[in-house]
Amino acid sequence: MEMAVTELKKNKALLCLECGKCTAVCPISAYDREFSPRRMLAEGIFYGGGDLISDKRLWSCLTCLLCSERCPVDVRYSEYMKGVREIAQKQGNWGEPSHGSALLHIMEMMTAPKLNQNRTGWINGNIKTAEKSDVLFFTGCLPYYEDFFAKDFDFHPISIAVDTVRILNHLKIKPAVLPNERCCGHDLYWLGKIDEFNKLRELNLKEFERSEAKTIVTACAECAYTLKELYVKKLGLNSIEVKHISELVAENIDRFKFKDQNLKITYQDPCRLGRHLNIYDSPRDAMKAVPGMDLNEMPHNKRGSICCGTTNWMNCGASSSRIQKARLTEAKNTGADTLVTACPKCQIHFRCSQCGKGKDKEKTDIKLKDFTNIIASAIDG
Amino acid sequence: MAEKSVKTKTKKTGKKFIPDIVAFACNWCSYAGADTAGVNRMQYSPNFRVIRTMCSGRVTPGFVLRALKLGADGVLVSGCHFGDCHYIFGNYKAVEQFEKTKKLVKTLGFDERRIRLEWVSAAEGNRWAEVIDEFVAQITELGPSPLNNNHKS
Amino acid sequence: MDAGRHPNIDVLTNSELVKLEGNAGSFRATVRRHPRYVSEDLCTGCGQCYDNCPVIVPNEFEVGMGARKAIYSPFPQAVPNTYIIDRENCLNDDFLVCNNCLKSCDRNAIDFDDTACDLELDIGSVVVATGFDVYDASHLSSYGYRLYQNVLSNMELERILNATGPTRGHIVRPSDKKIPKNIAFIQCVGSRGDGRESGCQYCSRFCCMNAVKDCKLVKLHEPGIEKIMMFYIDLRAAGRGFEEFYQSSLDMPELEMIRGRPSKILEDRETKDLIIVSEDVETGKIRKARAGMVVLSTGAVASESNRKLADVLGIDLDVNNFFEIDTKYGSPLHTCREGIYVCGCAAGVNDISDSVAQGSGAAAEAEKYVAKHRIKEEPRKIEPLDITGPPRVGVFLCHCGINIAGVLGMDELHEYAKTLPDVVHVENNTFLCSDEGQRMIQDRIIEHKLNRVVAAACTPRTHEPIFRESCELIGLNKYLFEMVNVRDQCSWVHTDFPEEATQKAKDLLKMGVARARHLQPLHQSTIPINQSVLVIGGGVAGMCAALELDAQGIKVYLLEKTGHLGGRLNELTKVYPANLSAFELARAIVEKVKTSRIEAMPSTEVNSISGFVGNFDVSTTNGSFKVGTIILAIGSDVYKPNGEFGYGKYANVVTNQELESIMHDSEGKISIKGKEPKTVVFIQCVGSRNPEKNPGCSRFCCPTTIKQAIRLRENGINVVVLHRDMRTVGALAEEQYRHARALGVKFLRYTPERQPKIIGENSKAEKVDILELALNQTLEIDPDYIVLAAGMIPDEESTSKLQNILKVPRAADGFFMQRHAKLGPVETTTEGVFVAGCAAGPKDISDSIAQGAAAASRAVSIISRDTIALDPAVCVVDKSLCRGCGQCVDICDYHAPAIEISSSGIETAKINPALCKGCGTCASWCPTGAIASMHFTDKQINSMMDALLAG
Repeated sequence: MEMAVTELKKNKALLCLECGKCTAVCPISAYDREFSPRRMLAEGIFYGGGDLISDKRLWSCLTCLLCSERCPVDVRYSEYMKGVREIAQKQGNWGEPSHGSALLHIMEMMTAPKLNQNRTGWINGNIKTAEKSDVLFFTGCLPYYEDFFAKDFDFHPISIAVDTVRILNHLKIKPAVLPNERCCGHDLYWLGKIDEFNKLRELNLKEFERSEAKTIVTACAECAYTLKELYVKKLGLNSIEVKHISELVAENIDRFKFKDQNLKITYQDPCRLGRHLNIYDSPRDAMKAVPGMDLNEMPHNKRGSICCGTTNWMNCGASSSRIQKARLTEAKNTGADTLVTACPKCQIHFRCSQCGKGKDKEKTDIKLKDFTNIIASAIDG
Repeated sequence: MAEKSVKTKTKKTGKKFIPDIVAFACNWCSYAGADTAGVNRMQYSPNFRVIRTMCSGRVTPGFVLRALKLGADGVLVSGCHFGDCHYIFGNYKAVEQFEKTKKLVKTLGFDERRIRLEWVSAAEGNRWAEVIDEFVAQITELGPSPLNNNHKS
Repeated sequence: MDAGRHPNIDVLTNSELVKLEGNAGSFRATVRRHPRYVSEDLCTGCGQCYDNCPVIVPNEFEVGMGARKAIYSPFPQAVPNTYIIDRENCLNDDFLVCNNCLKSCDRNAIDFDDTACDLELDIGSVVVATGFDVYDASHLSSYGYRLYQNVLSNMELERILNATGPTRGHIVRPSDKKIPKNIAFIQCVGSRGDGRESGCQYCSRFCCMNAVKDCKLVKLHEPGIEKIMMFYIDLRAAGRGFEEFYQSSLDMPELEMIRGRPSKILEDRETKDLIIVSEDVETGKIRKARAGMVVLSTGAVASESNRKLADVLGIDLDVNNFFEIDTKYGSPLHTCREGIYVCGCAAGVNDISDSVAQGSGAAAEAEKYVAKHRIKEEPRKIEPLDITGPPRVGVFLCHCGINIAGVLGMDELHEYAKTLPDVVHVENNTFLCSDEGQRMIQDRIIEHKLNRVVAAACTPRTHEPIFRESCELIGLNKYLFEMVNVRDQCSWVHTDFPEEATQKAKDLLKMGVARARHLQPLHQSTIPINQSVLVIGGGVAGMCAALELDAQGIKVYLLEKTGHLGGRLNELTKVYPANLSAFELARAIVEKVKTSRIEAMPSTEVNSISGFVGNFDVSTTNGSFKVGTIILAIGSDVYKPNGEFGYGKYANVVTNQELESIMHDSEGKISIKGKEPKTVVFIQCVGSRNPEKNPGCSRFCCPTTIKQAIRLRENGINVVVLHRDMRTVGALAEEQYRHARALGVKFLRYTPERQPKIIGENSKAEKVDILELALNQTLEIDPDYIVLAAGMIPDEESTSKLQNILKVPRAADGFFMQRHAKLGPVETTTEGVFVAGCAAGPKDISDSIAQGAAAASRAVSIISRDTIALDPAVCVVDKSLCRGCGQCVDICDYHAPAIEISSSGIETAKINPALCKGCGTCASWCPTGAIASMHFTDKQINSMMDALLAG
C-alpha cells in the first residue's frame, strides 16, 4: 500500500521546499539525530512512504505542530504523520507502547458497544451533578488515570474531574456526567487507527444526543481538540458547542470571587490547546484574575511552546525524557514554584519524569498543578 | 451493570456456553503444578489455555487487558506461594501489578471475578485442578464477556 | 530433578554399596544394582503398564493409606521416572504368567530376565546420607497406634495433608471418612524416652516445628475444625525463624497448648473418638480430653540398615546406631575413617536447613580428594544453519505411545497444523523423545530448511533440554525451538473429553506456532571467573571455610577485623558435647590456617567491593585484590542485658559468656573470681523470645547453660536453672540435659508473665523469688551468682556495613537473609556471595563448622570453572527507549540493572547478564517498554493471545 497522491496533496506535503526548518525546530530531532521530519516527508513524496512505514521512529513524532508553525509553505505535517501511520499499522507495524499497552488496550476496549463501564465512582456528595443538563462534563480518561497512576505518583488525576465540577457548580451549573462515556479517540486517531476512532466517535455522539446537552465541557486539552475539531467541526454538528474549562472560566471570570493565593506560577501550553486550537489567552487570563497569582512565562511560550515530550502513550524513550527534563528546568528557571498545565496528560508525563532518581532531580524539581486545581482552590466559598 | 443483561440473553438462547480463559502460569510453581496434576492423572476442565511465563511478576496489566480486549471471558494469573518464589519476591510484585489491573477492570465495568490471582506450588497438582475447575465454573456462571463477540456456542 | 539432570551426577537407584577397598583418594567401591525389570533407557514413564497391571497392593509412600500396582513409580516426582516391578507381588512369579505389563509396553522396556549386577567404581571419597527411619509408635501400647483407627503418626498426617495424597488433601478420620471436630497432637512419641521401649533418649528435634506447622495446615485445609490440642513437655522451636513461627501459631484461637505427656489414650467404641488422659502440669489437674483424631509426633530413629553399611564402610555407629562422628575436629561431618563423611540424619537428627548445609559441607570435604580430577568442558564447534528469511515452521506431533494418541485426534491435529501460518512441514511420531524421533526432527530441519521447530508432546520442564540439544547439534539455535504441552496438561487430564481435549490441543498448537514465529536466536556468551575467594571473618565458620577451600588448592583471602583469628572460640573454655577444650580447638584450627596457603589478613576491614559474581574487586584497609566469590562469616554479637534481672546493678549477676571467663578449675575445685560459690542460678531466654527485643530463639543458650551447670554441679555446687522451655536440641544435648538432672541440677519453669524476681542490696543480688508452678508456691533461693543466658543478636556494625557494600538484604531478625530458609541456608540473594555461621542466625560451633564447609562447597561450584556461561534468555535494555528512571534498579532483587551515565551525560539502565535471572519482572515494570525479557518478550506473549483469541 502506498501513500496516495491525494493524501499528500491534502496535507500540502508536495509543497515541501526542503528547507529543513522543521527538523531544526523539532524537539525530538534535538535529541535523536536520526529523527528528521524533512527526510520523513521525502520518504512519502519520493517513495510513497518507503522505509518510513516500518521505521520505529514513525511513532516518535509528537504531532505537536511546532514544525508547521515554522513551515514557510504550511505543510500539515501532523496530518501527514497520521496518514502514514494509518498505512503502517494496517500492515502490522507498531511503535513501542508505554505501560505495557495497558492504556491503549483500555481505549480499544471502549470501542465495544456492549461495554458498560463503572466510571463515575468519583462523584461524591460535595459536588453536584445531574442526570440531564444543558451542560455535559466530558470526563475523559481521568478515572483510568486514577486507577493507573495514583499509586505511583503523589497525585490524584481524578481530582481534576472533581475540581472541574466544583468550578461548574460555582457557576451554578449542575453538569451531566455520562456513566458510559467512551474515550474521545484522540490517541487512536493520531496513531492512525481511524476505524477504532470512528467507532468511539459514533458511540459518544449517540450518548451526547441522548443527554440532550448543548454544551460539552472538558478539562483535557486533547478531549477539547478532538471534540471540537474531529467531532463537531468535521461532522458539521450545529447543536453542540464544546468548551475547554479554561475558556468557560475566562468567559465568566466576573462571576468568580477568589481568595488571595500568593503563588508564583508558570504555564505549560498543551499542544492541542495551543497550536492546535489557538487557545493561549483563556487559561492565562483566568489565572491572572486570581489575586496574588504571579504568572511567569517560560522563554518558550504560546506558539513557541515545547511539548511535554510524549503523546499517544507511544515511544516514550530517551528523547522524551530529555525534552521533559529540559522543559521542567526551563519552568524552574522562571523562578516559579508551580508549573500549571491545562492537560492531565502533560502533568502525568512531567511527573513521570520527576520520578527518576537521576542527577537532574534538583534541576527539574518543581510543583505541578492542573489549571482546574488552581482555580478550584482559589474559589472563595 | 452490563454483565447482567448479557447473561440473561445467553440464558435465553439456551446454548451451552464454553468460556475462553487465558491462564498465565509461572514456570517454577504453577506450570509445574499443572504438570504434577498430569502425572497424577487428575481430571479437570479443559476450558482454559495456559501461557507460560518465567515468573508471575512478568504478567503486566497490559497482558491481562489485552486478553480481555480480545474477548477472553476470564484471565487467571498463577504463581508460587509467598516465600516460595524462584525469584524471591516476584510474586509480591505480581500482586502489585494485579491490584492495579483489578482496579482498571472494575472501572471498565467487568465483573472483577473475571480475573483471578492464585498461588499453586509445583507439588499441588490437586490444587491446580481445583483452581481451574472452580474458575471455569465461575466464568461459566458469569457468562460470556461483553467483549466476546464470537463465543463458541 | 536437578541432580537427575546434572551431567556430572550419575544417579544409581535401587543400588547398594557392598564393598569398599583402598584409602581416601583412591577407594574402589563395589555397587550392587538390584534388578528393576524395567530398562531406564527405554522407559518413558508413560504409565501404560501401570494401567494394565492387575495387582493392587498398599502403597508404602502413602504410608499404606493408598494403593499401588506391582509395577509402579515410587512417587510422583521420582528420579529417574522409570517404573519398577515389585517381584514379591508380581503375578509372573506364579504358575500363571500374567505379562500384562510386557504386552502393554510400546517401548519393550520390560525385561523379566533382569538380574543384579555389580559395578566397580573408582572413587575418591564417600558421603553417607542415608537418613533415618521413623519410630514405630506401635511399641507404645498405651497410645493405641495401629489399634485405634483414628490414631495416626505425623508421617501419615503429612500424606493426608498433601494435595496429591490418598485423601487429596482432606483431613478425614480413617474410621468414618469424616472431618474430625478436634485433633490432638502428642509430642515426643519415641523421643526423650528411656532408650528402650518408649523410644530413644535423644530429642528428635524436628517434631515440635513439624507439629506446629501441621496445626496451621490442618486449620487451612479444614477451616471447620474447632479445636487443636497439643500435648508437649518443652516446645522446641529452636532454629532461625522457628520461635517467631510458633508465636504466630499461638494466635490461632483453635489451638490449645497443654503441657504434659499423656499417660494413655482410650477409644470410645461407638464414636471411635479418642480420650486422652494426661496431667496438665501447669495446673496439676488430671484431664481427659476427647479428640476425633490423634496425631503422634513420632521421632526419628537410626536406620536399621546402618549396621550393615557401617561394616562395609569400616566405620562405627554410636549408642543410638547413628553413624559415629569423630568429634575431635568439632565438625559434624567427619567419621573415624578418612575420606568418608556423613551428613543429614545419618549421623543424628537434623532439620532440613541443617541437613542441606551439612550436605554441602560434606561435599566440600569429599571434593578435597577429587578436586585434581575436575573435568573441563570442551566447547563444541558446530556450523550454524542459515535461518534468514521468513519463518519456516516444522511441527512434530508426539503420540507418546497411546498417552497422547489415545485421547487426542492425532490426524485431525496433523491436518490442522498444516493450516497454521508459516508451517511448512508436519509429522507425527510414536515417541519423539526417542533417539529415532530426535534424528527424524534433525533430518527434517535440514530437508525442509526449517528455521523454527515446534514439538507438541509432554512438558518443556522435563523434555525441552533434549529437543534443544538435538537442534543445537545440527546448528539450529536452541532458542528457535518451542514446545507445546499436550500430554501432562492436556491428554492426561482431559481423558474423558477427547473432543474438548483435541480442541484444546489445537489451540495450544496454534499458540505455540504463533510464538515460534516470533522466536529469535539467542547466543550464549561467557565471562571469565577469578578463581579466588574472599572470606570475611576469622571465626570458626570463616576459618573452616577457608581451610576447605585451601585444601582444594584455591587462593583464599581471610579477613579478620580484630588482631587475631579464632573469633568467639577464644572466649570459651569447654565446648560441648565432647567437652573439648575450646582453647585447644581454636589453637588447632588457627595453627592449620597459619600453616596453609591461606592469606590471613588480621586487623583488616573491607572498604568497598564492586563487581559481580566471578569478578569482585575488593578494596580493604590492607590492599586491593580480585576474587570470584565471597563468604560472609562475620559472626554475631551477644545480647547485652539492659538491666534485666539486676544486670549491671548487682555485681554477681553475669551472662553465660562472662561466667565462661571468670570460672576457673584449679586443683579439682571450681572457683568464680577466686571464690568457691555454694549456689548458682541460671535464668534462660534473657533478651530472646521477647517480641520487643529479640523475638527469635538463640538455640545455643540452653545447651551452654547445661554445659556450665554440669561443670558447677560436678564440683558440688547447687545449681538451679530457671527456664521457659529447655531447648536442648542438637547432638547429645538432650543426653547432657538428662545427665545434668541426674547430677541434681534443679530445673524450674517460669513464664513471661511470672518472671523470677531478684532482690538485692549494695550491688549484690541476695535472693531470687520464683513461683514454683507444680506446687504453686513461691520459692526463695539465695544464690552466690546469677547467670543470665543472653542470646545472640546480629553484629549491627559489620552487618549493616556489608549489607550496604554488597547489597545483601537482611531478614526481620537482623541477620543476613538466606536465599531459601530451608534449601539455600548458606546462599544469599546476591549471586556469588555466601554466608556461614552466626552471620545467618544463631548457631553452635558444630553447625558453624558445617556451614563453613557448606559455603566453601557452594563457592567452589562457581569458581571451579574458568568462565561462567551466561544465559542469554535474560533481560536487555533498548537504550533509545530508556528514560533512565531507575525503576528496574529498585525492583530487581538481584541488582542486575544499574544506571549508567554516558559521556554526554545521559542516564540509561544497563542490565548485567551475569546477575540477571531472566524473571522478566523489570520488563513488566519498565514504563516505556525499553526492557525486553528475552525469549519471553511482549511480542512473543502477545502473539499467543492474538492467535488464541483473535486468530
